[in-house]
Amino acid sequence: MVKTNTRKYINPLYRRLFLLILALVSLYVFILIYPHISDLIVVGVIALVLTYVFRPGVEAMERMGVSRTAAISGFFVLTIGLIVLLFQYLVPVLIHEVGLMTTKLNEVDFTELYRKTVEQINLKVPVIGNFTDLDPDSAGAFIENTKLAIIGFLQKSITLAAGAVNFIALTTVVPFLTFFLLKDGPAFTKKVLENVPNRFFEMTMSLAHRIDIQLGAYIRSILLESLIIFSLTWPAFAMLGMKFALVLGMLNGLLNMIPFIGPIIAAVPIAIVVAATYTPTVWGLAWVGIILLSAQIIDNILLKPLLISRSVKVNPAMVLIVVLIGGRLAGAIGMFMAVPVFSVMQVVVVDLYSHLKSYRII
Amino acid sequence: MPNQERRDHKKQGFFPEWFSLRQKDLSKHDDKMHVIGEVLLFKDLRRRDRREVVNLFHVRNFARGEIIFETGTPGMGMYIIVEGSVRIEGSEESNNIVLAELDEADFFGEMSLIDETPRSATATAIVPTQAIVIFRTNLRDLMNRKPKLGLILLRRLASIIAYRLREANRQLSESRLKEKKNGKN
Repeated sequence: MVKTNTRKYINPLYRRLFLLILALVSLYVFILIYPHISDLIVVGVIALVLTYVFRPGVEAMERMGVSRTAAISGFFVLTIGLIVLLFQYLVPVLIHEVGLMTTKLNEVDFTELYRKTVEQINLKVPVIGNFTDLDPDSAGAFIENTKLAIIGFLQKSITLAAGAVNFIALTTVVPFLTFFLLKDGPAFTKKVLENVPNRFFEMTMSLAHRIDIQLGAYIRSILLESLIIFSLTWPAFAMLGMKFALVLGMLNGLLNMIPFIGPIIAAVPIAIVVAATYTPTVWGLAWVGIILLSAQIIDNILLKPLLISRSVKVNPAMVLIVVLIGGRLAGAIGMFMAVPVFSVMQVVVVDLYSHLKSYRII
Repeated sequence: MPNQERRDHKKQGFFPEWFSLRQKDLSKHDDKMHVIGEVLLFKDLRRRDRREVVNLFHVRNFARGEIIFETGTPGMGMYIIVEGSVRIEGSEESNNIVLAELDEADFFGEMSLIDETPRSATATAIVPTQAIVIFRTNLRDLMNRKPKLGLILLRRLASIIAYRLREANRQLSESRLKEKKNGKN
């Protein structure tokens, strides 16, 4: 039997060296061109997220007998409609509320507010007073700095959101890209796999499928979880008559996507905004605490086990480390992207090694 | 034949894994439909269903002597020979036993469409071979999107595997009977 075995003839070191140099050069070229293609990458990422979100719906319609092209066309129209609705109704309201919130926050003297809040707490619940015996000036200064950070963040977010991907790109490029990813994504994957050598073909197919499933499940579950948290907190804030309920609800929902520390990061600005706008302040803070805590209990007992834990098998301690590293590297975006990027890396690195062993390549 | 092996290797170059991709397309026909019409699994399907099935195909070229898959490696999919020949070998107490030699329109590795158990045999291309691969994951996606077609394929697959199992049992019984007769003699 003729068995093709190249290890006897080629020194593996030369091939590995060549591949390593190729990988480093590719990385360097990517870093060089990244600033010029970052907009395209953002558009691509949005289209990819929408593809993963719509794919189960398209498959469900196919099961009902609708042709794939018709199903995808339906979601294409839905995407454009959603984007137009967002820009027509939601975005102006958000920009208006953020503007009002910024003005209101600038008007409030937080040092004085802190002093009054501590007095009220001491009157009503003297026990807690022992733990709030901080110097009002330092506490006020801390809150002032946090307030400035929140204002800066809100203003930057609006500028970034408007500038990073403009309306034309969103309403034209994103829907078309989503349409073609849904329709021809599998064919494109097939075309890419044609260039993989036979020796690595089955293994690559297996890895690509696992990454696809894991990434899709994670994106859908995290978006659904975020939507549910927003749906719980926004009406709760609105019913209590809190100002800027929509912005606060959205902030809580969005930041909840960051595992573990997201809810804590969300609680601080929400508490500060409520303290500045709700009277009496103590009750406002108490209600915020109850609402956020209830949302987190529902999230951790119901939503995470049902939605997230099945999609991403990452150790919770590792999730925390990864989120912190992501925050260090790329700020808020890094925190959002940390877990899906890590889970993809986990599949590629860990599973790649076991696949290489199983297929007797190493 | 070590010299032949060295000559083959020199032809293959620095990255021999890519050798197969540089081969000319061996297929006489551009349209792969003629092959699936001959395969029991896909016979008499409606044209619309055949098109769905064809979308699952990955076409691969294998060099003479190239191992398609080995015993013990994870099984991912089934192979249908478009052109060429493949030898299926099993190993029994470190001896390789030729189980079958397959030609155009034959298929092998179909058990991997059912589950993830490792390959039970080694498949090697005897001559330059072109084959169509259908992966378990793609088939599952098709079953998810088109349950009726998926059920038809699954039923046919089950009857092919059942037939092969009955054949294997029959051959085993005959072989045991022969051994007994030879032992008595």
